Amino acid sequence: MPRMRNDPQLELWLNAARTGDVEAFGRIAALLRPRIARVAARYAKGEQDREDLLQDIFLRAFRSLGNYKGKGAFEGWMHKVAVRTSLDWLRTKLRRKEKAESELTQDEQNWLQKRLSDDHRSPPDLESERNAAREILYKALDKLSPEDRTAIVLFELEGMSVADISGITGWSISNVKVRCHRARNRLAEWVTKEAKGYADV
Amino acid sequence: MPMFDKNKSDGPKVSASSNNEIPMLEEMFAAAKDEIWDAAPGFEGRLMARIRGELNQAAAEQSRLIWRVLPAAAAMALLAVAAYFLTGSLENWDGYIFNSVSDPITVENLIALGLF
Repeated sequence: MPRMRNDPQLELWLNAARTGDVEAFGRIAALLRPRIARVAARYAKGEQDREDLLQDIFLRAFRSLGNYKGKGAFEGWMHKVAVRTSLDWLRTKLRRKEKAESELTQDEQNWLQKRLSDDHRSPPDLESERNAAREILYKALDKLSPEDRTAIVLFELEGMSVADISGITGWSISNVKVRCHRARNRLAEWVTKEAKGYADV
Repeated sequence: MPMFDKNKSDGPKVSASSNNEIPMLEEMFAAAKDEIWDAAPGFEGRLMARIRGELNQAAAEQSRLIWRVLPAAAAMALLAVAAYFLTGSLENWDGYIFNSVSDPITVENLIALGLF
């Protein structure tokens, strides 16, 4: 849960950054980078895309610093900027019709097959298994609309409440619920289809 | 069949009990939650360089705009001065720029002013 008040040092940097002090903003970025990087990683795959998105997020924050009026913690405001920038980034990607890689690798196919034949349903314990599970999820997320993806990522991966998601995105509570529900169903459908497809081979 | 998570009372949760593939989805979510990604070292330096680059670009754009507007402004000022000389004269100038029309706009007057 983000703090409601800012650290005095952060306030000093914020005031300096508002006057165009890039160094001060660099310090703010260093402070908040770990949390914001996690958000970027939910939307972009690959080091370069993630780095670009993370830079876009901080750049947008720097340009919009004047909009932060000090209501609530800066970290919360920054998280909002991160989600909105990521959503726009996905929309732009969709407009450019960039094809997402959807073919599963051998490791991912193996994990699906193992998972289907595993009666004990033990969670993936090896790092390679966790990687495979994660990659399959990201490929499945690529099949969703940017809005549905945002809703399910915030709900399931960030652990946010529907009310908080509504506050960040500006969508109504019922809209968020519908998006989460639809996204889950689509993810389940895609994974089921893929699993069956590889099981039949 | 949707049901609601007790921990997030306002959120939807799809029941997983009747479907083999859904627990798999939960495992994928758990694996993705565990992922900790961070930018390569030197991120702040690269970010600041990009911000400075954008600021310089914006300043250059502004300067280009000024140089585009400046000649037009200078031409307008020149025209105003020309209009003053064409519509009035220094001898009977009473403090107003357009005080009288003593010199009509003729080719001779324009040549005399060096505008033609």
